[in-house]
Amino acid sequence: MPSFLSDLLTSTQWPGSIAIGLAYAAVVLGVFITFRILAFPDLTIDGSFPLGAAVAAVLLMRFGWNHWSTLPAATFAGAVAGATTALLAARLRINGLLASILVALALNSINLRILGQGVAERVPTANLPIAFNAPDVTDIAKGPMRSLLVDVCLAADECITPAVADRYAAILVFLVITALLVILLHWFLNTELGLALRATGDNEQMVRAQGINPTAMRVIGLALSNGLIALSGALYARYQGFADVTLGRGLIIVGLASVIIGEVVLPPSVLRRALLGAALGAVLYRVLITLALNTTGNIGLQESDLQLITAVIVIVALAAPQLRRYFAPRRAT
Amino acid sequence: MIELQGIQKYFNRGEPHEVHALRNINLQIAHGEFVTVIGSNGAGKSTILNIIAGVYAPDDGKVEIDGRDVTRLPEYRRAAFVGRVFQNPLDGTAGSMTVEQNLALALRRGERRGLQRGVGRQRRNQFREALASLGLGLEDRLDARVRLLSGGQRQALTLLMATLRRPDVLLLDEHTAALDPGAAAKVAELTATIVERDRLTTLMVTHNMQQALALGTRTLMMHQGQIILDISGPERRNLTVQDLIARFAAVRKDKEVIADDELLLTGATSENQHPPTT
Repeated sequence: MPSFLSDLLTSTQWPGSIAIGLAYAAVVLGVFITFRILAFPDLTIDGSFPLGAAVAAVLLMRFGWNHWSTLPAATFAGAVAGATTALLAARLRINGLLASILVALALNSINLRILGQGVAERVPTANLPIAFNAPDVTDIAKGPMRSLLVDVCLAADECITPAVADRYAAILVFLVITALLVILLHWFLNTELGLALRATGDNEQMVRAQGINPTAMRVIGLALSNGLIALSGALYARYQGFADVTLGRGLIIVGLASVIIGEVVLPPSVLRRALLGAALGAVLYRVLITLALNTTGNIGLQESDLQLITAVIVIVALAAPQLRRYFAPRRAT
Repeated sequence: MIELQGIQKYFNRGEPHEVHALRNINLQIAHGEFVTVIGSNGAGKSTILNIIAGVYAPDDGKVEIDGRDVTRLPEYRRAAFVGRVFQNPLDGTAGSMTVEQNLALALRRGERRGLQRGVGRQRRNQFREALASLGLGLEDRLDARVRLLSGGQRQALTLLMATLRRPDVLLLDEHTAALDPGAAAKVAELTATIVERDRLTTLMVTHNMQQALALGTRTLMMHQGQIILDISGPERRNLTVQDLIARFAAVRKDKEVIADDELLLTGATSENQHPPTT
C-alpha cells in the first residue's frame, strides 16, 4: 500500500491522467447535453475539439493573446460550429448525424487553415507545438503547489518533484473550472430556457404545443455542447503542449464511455447528480485506461490498444441491458 | 372566435393513395362555445383540430383565431393562442421531467423564455394550488417525474397545462379515449369544470356519441372530410344517441348518392371516395 500510494503521489503518470481527465470533463458535459438531454447524436465533436485547441494555440503562440482570453475565444468558435450543425439539420433537413459529420469534415480543413495563421506564408498546418514556457492557466496554482508539495517525501527515495507538483496545480485549476461549468450548467438547465431545452429532447410534440421552437432549442443546445467541447480542446492542447487537427478522432466514444461510466458510478436521479456523474466519469475513464495499461502491460497490451479498450468499454456498457435480459432467469408465462 | 374558411386538405396529394381529408370546410365557432366533434375513422375530425393547431397548413383556405389570420403561423407560434390535449397521455407531457417542471413550461406558453428560474417558491405555490383543484393528490407530487404518473393523472396534468394560461382555443383530440373508464370519466368531468370555469372556446373530438352530447354546447358530425351535421341549442338538448345515429345514417345515405353521382361524372376511382381508416 505505501508503495502504491507513493507511486500515486510521486509519479507523473497518475496525477497526469487525472489532470487530463479533468481537462476532458467539459467534453463529457458537452456529450451529455447532446446525447442525453437533446437526444441528438452529434459528431461535430470530431472537429470542434481540435477547433478549440487550434484557436487557443494560435492565439496564444502567434497572436500573443492573454492565455485566459484564449478560452472564451475557443468556446465561441466551438459554439458557432455546433450551431452550424443544428441549422444544417433543421433548415436544410439534413439528417442530424450526417449534418454533424459534414461539419466535422469541413472543420478539418478549417482547423488546418487556423493552425497556419499568424505566419507569413499561411501554409495549412496539421500540428502546432505550444512552447512549454508559454503562459498557461494552470500557472496560477503552480507556485502554491510547489511550495506545498515539493520535497515532501513519502519514502527515502520517493519525493514529489516540481514536475509532479505542476500536475497537481493543473488538477486544481481544472477542478475549479469543471466545478464552475457544472454549477453554471445546473443553473442554466433550470432556467425557463433550460427547461425548454430539456423538454425538447424528451417530447418534441409537447414542446411545440407549449410554444417552444425545437429548432432554436437544438441550436442553443448544440452551441452550448460544442462550446464546452472546444473549451476542453483549448485546455487539453495547452496542457499537452500542442494542438493537432486529429485530436478529435474517436473522441465521441471517449465522451460516451465517460458518460456511461459516470451513470454507473452515480446513477442520475436528478440533474445535479447527472452533471457530477459526467464530470466524474471523465476522470474515471482516464484512471481506468491508465490502470488497464499499467496492469495489463504484462499480458501485452500497449498504449496503441487504447482505442480498442475504449470501444470494448462502450460496447459492453451499451449492450448491458441486452446482456442482462439474456442472462436473467426466465419466468414462466 | 375561430373561423375556418374554405379549408381544403389533401394527404399524399398527387399519389395513387391520395386522400382528400377536408373538403371545403367553413366553420365559425363563437367565443365560449364548447363544440364536440364526432364521425367515423378518417372523417377528418383530427385533421380539423390539427389545421387549427397548425400541425399542418391547409392546401387552401384560411384559419382565423380571434380575428388574426394564423394560416401560415407555425405550430409553436400558434401555441400562444391554443391549448391542446392529445389522445395519447404520453404526448402532452415530458416524462423525464418533474410535475412542477412541466407546469413551468406550460406557464410560459407563447411567451419568451429567458434566464429566470423555472420553478421558484412562488410558482411552486401556484402550481400546488392549481394541482389541488384537480383533486388527484398531485399537489403532493410536485417533484415526481411525470413518467411515474398513471395515464389518467398525466392526461389531467396535460389538461391543466393546456389551460394554466388561458388559451383562446382549447383543442381536445379524443383525450379520454386511451384511458380506463374511471380515469376517462374523471378527465371528462375535469374538462367540463375547467371549460365552464374559464369560459373557454373549446373543440373536442370524440368517438363517444354519449360524451359528444353530454359535454359541450354544440355538436358537429363529420363524414368523408365534410361537416354533415351541426346542431346546437334546444334541438341538441333533446337529442339522444339513437337520434344521432339515425340522422347520421340518413345524411350518409344522401352523401353516398352524391358521391356516386360524382363518380359517374368525374370517372374518379372509388378509392378517392373513401379515406383509409387509420
